[in-house]
Order: sequence, then C-alpha cells, then structure tokens
Amino acid sequence: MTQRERQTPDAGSAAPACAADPAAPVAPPLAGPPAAARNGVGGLWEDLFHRASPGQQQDLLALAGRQGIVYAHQVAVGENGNGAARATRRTLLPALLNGQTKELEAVRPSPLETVDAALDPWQRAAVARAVQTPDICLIQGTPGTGKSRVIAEILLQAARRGERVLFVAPAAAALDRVLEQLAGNDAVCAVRCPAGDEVFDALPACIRRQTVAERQRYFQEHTLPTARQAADAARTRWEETQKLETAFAELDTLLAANHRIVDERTVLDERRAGLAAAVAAELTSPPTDGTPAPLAAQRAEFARRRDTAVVDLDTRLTVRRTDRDKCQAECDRLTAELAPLTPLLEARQHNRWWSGVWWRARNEKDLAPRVEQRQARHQALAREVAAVQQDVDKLQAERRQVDEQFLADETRLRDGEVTRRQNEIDAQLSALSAEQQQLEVRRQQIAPAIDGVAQGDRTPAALSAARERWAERLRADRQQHECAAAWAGGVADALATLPQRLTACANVVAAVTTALAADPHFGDRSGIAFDLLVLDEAEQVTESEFVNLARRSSRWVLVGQPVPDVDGPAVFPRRAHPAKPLRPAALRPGFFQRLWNTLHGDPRRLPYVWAWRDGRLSCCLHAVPADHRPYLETEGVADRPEIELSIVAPPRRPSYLAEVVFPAAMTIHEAKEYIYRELGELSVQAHGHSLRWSESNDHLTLHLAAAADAAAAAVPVALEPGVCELVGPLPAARDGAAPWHTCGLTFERAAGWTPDRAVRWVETNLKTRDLGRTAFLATPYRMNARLAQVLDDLLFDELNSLDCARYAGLSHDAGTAPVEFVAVPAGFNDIEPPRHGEADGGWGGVGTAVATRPRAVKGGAGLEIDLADPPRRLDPLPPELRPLLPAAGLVNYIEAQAVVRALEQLVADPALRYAGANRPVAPCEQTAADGSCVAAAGCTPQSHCPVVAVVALYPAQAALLAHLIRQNPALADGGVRVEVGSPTTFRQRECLVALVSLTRSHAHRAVSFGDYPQALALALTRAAGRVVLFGDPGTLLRRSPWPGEIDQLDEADALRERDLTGRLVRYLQGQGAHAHAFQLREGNGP
Amino acid sequence: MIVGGTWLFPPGRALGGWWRDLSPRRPQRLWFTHLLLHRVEALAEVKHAHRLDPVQNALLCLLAGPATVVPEQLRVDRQLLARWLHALIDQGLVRSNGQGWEPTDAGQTAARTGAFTQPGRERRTFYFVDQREAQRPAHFLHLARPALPYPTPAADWHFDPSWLEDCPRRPAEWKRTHQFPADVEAIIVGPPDHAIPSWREVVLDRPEHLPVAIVRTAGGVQGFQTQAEDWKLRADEPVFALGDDWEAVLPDLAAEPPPDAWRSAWQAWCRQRGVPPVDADLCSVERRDHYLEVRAPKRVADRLKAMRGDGPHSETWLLAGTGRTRAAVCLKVVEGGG
Repeated sequence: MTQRERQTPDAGSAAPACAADPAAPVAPPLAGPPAAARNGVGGLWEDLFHRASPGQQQDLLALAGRQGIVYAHQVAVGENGNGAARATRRTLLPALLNGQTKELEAVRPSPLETVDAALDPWQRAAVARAVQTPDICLIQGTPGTGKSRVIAEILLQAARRGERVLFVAPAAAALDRVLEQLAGNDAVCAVRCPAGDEVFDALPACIRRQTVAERQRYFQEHTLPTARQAADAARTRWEETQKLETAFAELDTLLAANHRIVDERTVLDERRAGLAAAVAAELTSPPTDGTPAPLAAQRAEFARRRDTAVVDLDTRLTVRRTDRDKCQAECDRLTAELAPLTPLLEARQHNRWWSGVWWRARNEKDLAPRVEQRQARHQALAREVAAVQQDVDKLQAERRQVDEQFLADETRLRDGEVTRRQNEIDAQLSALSAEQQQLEVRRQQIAPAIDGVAQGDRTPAALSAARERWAERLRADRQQHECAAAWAGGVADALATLPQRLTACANVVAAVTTALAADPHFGDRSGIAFDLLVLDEAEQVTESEFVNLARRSSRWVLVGQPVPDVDGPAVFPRRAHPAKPLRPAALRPGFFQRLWNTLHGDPRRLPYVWAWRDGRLSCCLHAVPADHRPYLETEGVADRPEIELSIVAPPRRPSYLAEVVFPAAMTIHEAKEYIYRELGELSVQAHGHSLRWSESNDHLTLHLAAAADAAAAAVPVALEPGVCELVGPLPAARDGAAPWHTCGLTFERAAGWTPDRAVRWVETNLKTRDLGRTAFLATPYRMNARLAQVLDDLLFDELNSLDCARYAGLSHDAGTAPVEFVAVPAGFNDIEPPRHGEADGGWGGVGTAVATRPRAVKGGAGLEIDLADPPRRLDPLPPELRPLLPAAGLVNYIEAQAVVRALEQLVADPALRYAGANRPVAPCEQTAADGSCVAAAGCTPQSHCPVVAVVALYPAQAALLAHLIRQNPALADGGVRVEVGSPTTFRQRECLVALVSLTRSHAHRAVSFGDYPQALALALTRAAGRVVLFGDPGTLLRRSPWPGEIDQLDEADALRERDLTGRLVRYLQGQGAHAHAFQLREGNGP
Repeated sequence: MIVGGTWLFPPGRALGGWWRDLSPRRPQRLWFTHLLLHRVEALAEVKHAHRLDPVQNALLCLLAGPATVVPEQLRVDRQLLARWLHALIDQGLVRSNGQGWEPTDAGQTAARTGAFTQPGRERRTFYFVDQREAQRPAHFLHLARPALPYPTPAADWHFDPSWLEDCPRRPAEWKRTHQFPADVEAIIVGPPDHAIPSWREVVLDRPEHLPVAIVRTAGGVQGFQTQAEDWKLRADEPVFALGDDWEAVLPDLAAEPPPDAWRSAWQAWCRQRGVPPVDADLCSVERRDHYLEVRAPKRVADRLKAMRGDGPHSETWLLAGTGRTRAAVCLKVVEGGG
C-alpha cells in the first residue's frame, strides 16, 4: 500500500489510464487546494525536510546525493512524521501570542508582480510578505493608507496561486469594501457569508451576488433556463437539418426524372430529325416474315395500281405506235412513190415541154389521177399518223401521269406518315416539357433550404457537394445538440449540488467573525481548511476570536490599525488600583498590537536617543528609571576627559552606562564612530516604521527611514570594513532632539558582505531584526497631508514632524485649517493652557509633566437630552420634534442647530461645490462596465462617497440632524451630496468634509463619547480634506482626565478614549503638535 | 516486538485463538513472524485515471462542440465558470486559444469518454520485505495497513533504490499479482553521479517491522497483523495477501524447520510443563499438516493426558524454529512408539 492510497482509499484501485473505467475516481471539480494536499499527502521525508533548518536541509540533500538514499534512522525523525509540522504550527501561535519569537526564522519574501499597478512600494512589500508568509504576517496602517486595497491584492494573489483564503473581519463593511474591488476579477471566486443579522436585500448588489443563495438563485433563474433554451434550439436546428434528408431524397428523384426527361427529349429530337429518312426507308422496306409493313404495303398498293395502268398504257401505246409506224411507213412509201411523179406532174401542169420531164410525163398514163390518188392517200395517212401520234402522245402523257400519280401518292403517304409521327413526338416532347417544368417548380420549392442548391446548379456534382455540406452540417448540428443537451444536463445536475460545488470552488470565503462559525457552508462544522486567513480590522478582534479563526488555516495575515497600547505609557497616568481589573487579554481587543510589537522590528523602539545638552551632543544609551537617578554618576573618559560618561550604579545591581556626552566640537559622525569603536554600541536613532532591505550590485542597504530616498542625502559613518551608518538631517526635530537620524546601514559586497552575513550583523549589533512578517503602510492616501498629520497625532500618537516624507506627494491644503472645533456652547475662552510647570490637578492621582488640565473648568453645559427621560419644561428640544425621534438616545439640539448652520455655510461655499464635483474619488465599485451602477437606480460614484458627511456619535442625534437638514430649505437642494449618519454608517467610506457632532454635553460628570469605543476615531478618519468637530469643550475637559471605566466602556477602552480626548483638549488649548492645523471656533449658545 | 534485543513470540494459547479466529478462511498452516520492512518513500511518475465531474464534462463537451462558446451567453456566474475552466486547464484538458478556450487533444478524448488520465509526479510510499538473511533483494509487499517503526536496525541495513526502480518496469502480471500500484509508471531516484538531488527526489528508507500471523490457504498465504502487547489478532482483514509465488516474498516460510527443531520445540514444551526429559525423549515427533504428532509410550501418553490446564489437548499450540519466523503447530499426542 502506498501512502497516497492510505489517505485516499478509492485511489488504491486506480487502474491504469482507461477511458471509461467506472472505478476511476471522479476528478475534483477543481485542482485540490494546497491545504488539502498538505493535510493529506505529506510523508516522512516531507515533514523531516521542511522541519529542518536550511543548513540541515543542505546536509540531508548532500547525504542523499552520497548514498543515493536517506535512511530514517540516520537522521532524527519524529515518531510519526505526519502531523509533526502541524504540531509545530500548533505551538507557534501560543508562542507568538506570548511574545516568543526566538524559534521564528526570518523570511525574505521575493518581490511580487502585483495586479494593482498603482500600489506603492510599501504596499507591494506588504502584499509580498502576506502572500509568501510561512505562518503569520501583520500589516498595519492608519486609516486611509490603502489597507483594503492591499487586502484585495493579497486575496487576488493568493487566489492566483491556487490557494483558498478565509477573509474575515468584525464588520461586514470591511469585507464588502474589499470584495467590491474583486467583484470583476475572474481569478477570484468569492463567497460572502451573510451574517445572521444582515438584511439580505440590503446588501449591495455586487456583494449580494457573491452569496451562495444569490449565486444559486442566479444559477436557477438564468443559467439553467439559458442552458435549456440553448439545448432546445440546438435540438430544433438539428431536427430541421435532419428533415433535409427527405428533401435530398426528393431532389435525387427530381434530378433522376429530369435526366430521364432530358434523355427522352434527346431521343425524341433525334427521332424527329430522322423521321423522313426513317419513313422513306420504311416505305421501301421489304416485308418481314412475308408481312409487309403497313406503310410499305400501302406504297406497294400505289405501285401496283401504277404498274397496272402503265402496262395498259404501254400496251395501248405499243399498238398505237405500231399503227403509227404502219401509217408512217405507208406514208413514207407513198411519199417515195410521189417523189418521181410529182415533178412529172408539175412539169406537165406547167407545160414545161422543153424539159425532158415533160416528155416523160407525156409518156405516163394517168399521171395526174395517179398522183392525186396517191397524194390523197398520203394525206390520209399523214392525218392518220398524226392521229395515232396524238394517241401515242396521249398515252405517253397518261403514262407519265400514272407515274406522277404514284409519286404523288408515295409522297403524300410519306409526308403524312412523317407528319403524323412528328406530331406524336411533339406531343411526347410537350409532355416531357410539362413534366420537367413541374420538376423545376418542385425543385424550386425544396432547394432554398439547402445550401448551394438554389443557385441553379442542377448537376449531380452540385447536389453531391450540397449533400456533403448537409451531412457535415447535420453532424455539427447533432454534435451541438448533444453538447447543449449535455450542458443543460450538467447545469441541472449542478443546481442540486451548487452549494457543495461553491464550497469546493470558492477560493475566497468572506465572513464576519461572529457569523463564520455558524455558517451552513463554511462554518466550523464544515471542517473546510484554508490556506490563508486574512483578518481585517484585526485591532477590533479579541485574541480568543482570533485563536478560533486561526484553527481554520495554516497561515494568517492580520491587517489593522495601530492601537495605542493601554498597557504601555499613555498621555495620562493610570490609576494604581483600578476599580475593576482589565478584562483578560484574550477577551479584549488588543492582541493585534501585541503581536505587532512582538513581530515587528521597529527602529523607533531602539533605545538610543541623541540630543543636544547645553550645546553638547549626548547619546543616551539606556533610559534611566526614576529610581535609578540617585545612582547616576558622571566621569570623564580616561584618555579623552572631554567626553563624559554617565554611569548608573544601583546597589546590588550591575552598573550600566546610561549616557555619553561629547564635547561641543565633536560632530555627530565622530561621536557615532567613537561609540561604536570604543563602546561597541551601534547608536542608531531612526524614525522609520520598519526595517527594509534593498540590494544593489555594490551594496546591501538596510533602510531605517520612512522615506525611500532618505539614504541618498545621508552621510556615511564608517563603522567597520564595508559597513557604514548613513546619518541624515532631520527636516524637523522635537525640542532638544538632535537634528539627525540614521537613515540606514550599508554593507559593501566587495568587502565580503552577503545578505545572510549582513542580516546576522544587524541582529547582533542592532539587537532587532526584521522577521519578514510585518509591513507598515505609511502613506495616508485618503487625507491631505495636514489633516493626516493632525489625526495621526490625535489617534495614533504619531509625531510626524520627523517623518514628513510619509506625507510627501500628498495634497497639502495650506488654506483653511483641516481640523476645526466648533465649541457649543460658546465660552471656550475658559480653556486655557496650563501654566509652565503646572501639573495635572484633576482626578488622575499621580501627576506627570505630560498630563495637562486647564485651570478653570466649569464643566459641561448640560445641553444633551436623553430622549428616554420625560420632557422638561426648559428642554431646548421643540416638543414637535420628539415624535420624530427615537424613543431613547442622546440628542443635543443646540449642537445640531450649530451643525446645520455650519452645513449651510459649507454648502453655500462655491469652493466646496467645485471640489465636490471634481473630487478624485475612486469609481463606484458597484459600477458596471458600461458605467451604470448595479446597486441602485440613480447611484453615482459620489453617492457611495458623499461630499459632506454629517456624523453624529449617537443615532438619535443623527436622526435629529437628518430631520433638521431635511427641513432646511437651503440644504434641500444644495447641489452637494450630504449624508447623515452615525460613525457605523460611514465605516469603510470616505467624504470630503466631515462634520462630527460629539453630542455629549453633560453638566456635572465625565461622560464617554460614542456608543462604542472606536466610534469617535471612526468619525474623525472619514474625511479626506477637512474635519469639523462640534462639541462641548467643558464636557471634553471633564472627560480627558477621568482615569477609570466610564459608561459602557471598560477601563481599557476608556483609557484609549481618554488619551484621544486628552490630545483633543491639548489642541483646544493650542498645545497640539500640529496646532497650526487646528482651529477653534465659537458656536452658538442656547 | 523486541524486548531487550529479543524478539517476542506469542504463547500457544494465543496461537490457538488465532487458529480459531482464522478458521473461516480454511487455513492449512500457521506461522508467526516479525516481518522486517523497508518503508521507502520516493518520487514516482504516476498516471491517474479520473472520471470527469459531470459539470466539467458538460462544459468540456460544450467547448468541444462545433459552436464557439461565448461565456456571456451561457449566463453562468463568471467567477464560477472561470474556476471550472481553470480546473480543466489545470487538468490539461482545455487551453486558451487567444480568443477563448478550446479543448486539448486530451480534452477531446475526455469529452468523448468522460474520463481522462493525468500524469504527474508525487512522492509515494512503498513497502519492501527485507531479505538480507536470505541474501536476496528486498521484495515489494503490498500492505493494507502501516507497519511499526523499527528504530534499531542492524548495521548492515540496506536498501538499493534500484529494487524499487525495477518494480514499475516489471510485467503487468507481476504488478497485478503483487498489487504494485498500477498508476505508478516510473520511480525517480535522483540525479546520477552522486549529485545533489532536489528535495523531492530523495529516496527515504525507514526500517519498520510488522508482527504478523501468516496462514497458508488454498490460494496462497495471508498475513494478519497482531499486537505484541496483548497478542490480539486483526483477523477481519489480512494486512497482506500473496498468491502462489508467496515463497519469493517470504522465503523463510518455505523453509521447513528441520526435525530437530520440532523435537526441540517439543522438549521445550515438556520442560516448561514439568514433564521429565526422559519421558519427552521417549516420544517421537512428526509434523503432519498443522499438527505435530507426538507418539508417546502409553505411560507417557497417559501422563500427558492426565495433565490439566496446560496439558496437550486439541488446541495446544507451539512454535518451532529459530529466527524471526516460527512455524506454529498444534500438538497431537498419540499412543505408540517409544
């Protein structure tokens, strides 16, 4: 038995390739995902090899090369190789969550060709790291830095690699934002699992299409009928073509008949042409078997009659000729007798006595009578001869007449016969012509249905060619019919199993964290394994949720925003003993930041701090805790007393060097060289978010600055052969900080530095390393630079004066302050900055230099109204509005009025109209190829991203604002798209200007801002150009120092909110890091 | 199972139970052996025969048809269609022609037959019976279940990859007889001349062993896996079955123990049960089928019959022979001889 057979029992009987072996396994509809392959086929060697380090792998391969085989007992193999890797993987996650990375080897992902060509290098690097991670990858970025876009690219790349991805986020909006971008990509077959509380019909169309139910509906209502129609059409066409077979048979008959007719006509024509000769021949033809032909007999009768007449005439002619001859002879004799007598007579009669004739006539007796007699006789004979001759002539004429009569009869007989026969043939020809005409008519009826026959070519060859074409068409039609029928059958079969097929086909499964487990297709019961888990908005997910999700996949990509660590240092001090302990880490969001801190090599966390102290350069090597300060001693270096060393020597603890102070004349470069040479410390102070390696032909460079080109302007400080620290100037520095930073480290290849050696050197000397599993998206694309700077400071404690390169290339509106605070009610003059050195005197307990609190705090104005409370007499909320608002919830009518007034001014601003109309917003993701929006009628790209978003932290306030805006005629048709809602409404969306109504205005206690912890941060980060906050400064002032849990917020969330409100208050006091970008205005009071 | 470097063998009671369990198979002889096996993993060129999924078959037919397929006209979910198409492309049945898709030659055949073969390379596991003691190459054995790791092989443990390499080249009849996977067309044993192989080409041999009861039946021999811990037999299904040429695979079984071995086994049995060696020596032993016929003088026979418990009755079995393979026989005491 083979390993494979054991895992797939059916394959054990796999016969050799045979065409229709019913025992052969059905091919999976899709190439099996790598997850399945890894779960099943991995053998001993595979596990052994993949668990080995690169060096061990080389040794194993060398052993295999030497021996031709590797014996398992020669190398350490687990008891059961299968699953060892999985076991290792099982232990990986707990180790990472516990902050253990020693066992984790750094990965060096290779660059990827991304589909989205507009991704910046950092985003591309993030995609490469996520796609190629062997286990885990974290991507962090502030709002608007392109996380969704990066996730879309990750999903696409993974799908192209044949991997199956589980894409999860705590909110559906995050899923949909990414899925919208993938909707048109055929490489991705995404299935969106709707959450139980989601209204199916309310889903955007392009998202709804990606659900199993909608795909099934589409399949049933469109694919199946189309397939059946196509099958019917193909069958009809085939049947029509089949029917032509009878037409061809009839055409054959017609053709044969036509040929017969043509032949017959030819024969008849020939007969007709030879009729005269034939009849003539027939007239004279001898009798056959003694029986003459009728025509010959008739002619013979004519001949007999002629012959009879001729014989009679000849007889009579002979007689008469004899008579004539006798008479003629007598006549001649008389003539002869008269001849001698006549002259005698004439001589006598004329008395020509002088002649002898006369004398002889005298001797004749009776001459005259005798002559007369004879003459009379002669004349009689002559007359008789003439008469006989007449008879002879008459007989001869009669004879000729008889011959002529015969000939005439014969001719008449012949001609009559010829004519008769011609008539007969003509009749036959006419019949044939009529028949041929009928054939042609029929042919004309049939031929048009057959290609090439109607053109008039009536030859058998043409018909044969047409028949061949028809046969070919028939074959094609039959084949098409079979194919279409098979397709229709396949589609019908597929319909029944479509959910299962989708389950198999889907390479991206998107679900909200809370809905996945119960999903009928991809839930926990399905047992479907994924190759990659992509978790968006990971900062909102609890550790236990992630651990549950992580079981579904072997590799994890977590994407989220940086979260200020509540366990770390904060703006305000914590209470030493909170009223309620924090929830266990696993049950509250925050593991993402913890993991990030564990895995991310952040140059900013290096302990070295360079500063100016009394005009001298100092390098702080270790931070000195307050309790160690009494043990701080300063002494000069023995051989260079101008250099002072600050050494901490606490009792019963090892002493350590805390700071080195250099003489004023010493440059930063000399100082750094000195520290590395003499102290062996790589005193790097960097301000980049990440470590990033780049390679050129000559150098390997570790970039430590955010700006990619920062190293170009830096000056190298030689540390050791081939290694330089690149020190560059800072565009701006905090007070007292040295205006330099380390842009990077370079390693010369010529000096023998290889990537591995350089990485090891950095790990040894910098004591940090890039595990290749994190990526920070630094560039905020959504917002303009000034707004981004303020919000980074407010929300993420990012003091970006050192990091201006992040904002390079972004729009930088130098006009209006990007963040405004409209105080409602007025009276912000009470907000004063603390006096120099004044500590927080509020409720925080231990004061710090950071915490500030205004001296004069009147408390909130008490403008907020809880709709659940009964109306009071002095309620500012008009009674007629109450029925239009929810029964419960917080509203601030005065603040809402201020918002509406501000909105009126805003909408009337031509600059805003122009900017709104020309805003370079991303095209609507639900826009079809033809530009129409498939989501809803009248949808435009701007409708998904309003120009002005009016965000109220509480739904009731949002409802009030929506009502007031609807009632306002100036806003009814302002020409600017305004949308009102709570922060959730605008999740994963952006606008040009955000008007944020903080709503809370409590008279006498600290209150939270927002229904849930991230509401305020979400509201602040939606705008691309400008944020206008409306709030009660007094309430903010009360809130900012409150140290414990508040309202619905637990202490961790309350601490984060307090940090945010604290920074906001500092801006109100004009103390913010970007105070120039923050404007405080006075709103209207009640 | 090995304890302290010694192979453990089943007691006679277990052998009797096995014989009963296997009686439906009409056994003629019984052996017990600790098979030493080479579990060999190697890269194999395989050719899998698959029937097409109905929908893919229909899609392939459609593509193979005379009409040009316009995906939009099918009105199939684009992403789903793309996945189905890519699956066909991955299987080598469809290719892109620049304007759309068309079936390959294999695809045309598959569309007609509804089946296709897919060549590929994958690492497979094969079992070979170690035959070093017989000074013969290891012989392929089709095992229905995995064996147990054998962590302490002898120093001369050896497997020549060419033994595996030869198997796919053998006649089909041999493959059928020995149930060598028919879809394996070749074994790739790495580059020549001791070059470094790619990791997939490495041949791995893990020594394993299988305690197995073997019975000879009319059609050959069948092996049944046993558990050395409690000598339970998995009698429901043989772990391997061999035909008439079983002797080539298991030459130890073919070698009949010498008469002295039977006598020694008898004497050992007597010794364990307190039968005086003199009485044991008085008996003559002869194997007849699966019986060891013991001809004992009447006195000895009476004494043996009078033994309770471990006495020789109809299901008293003992093992004879040396080494890892022992022949099992059922004792049958008859009066006479001496």
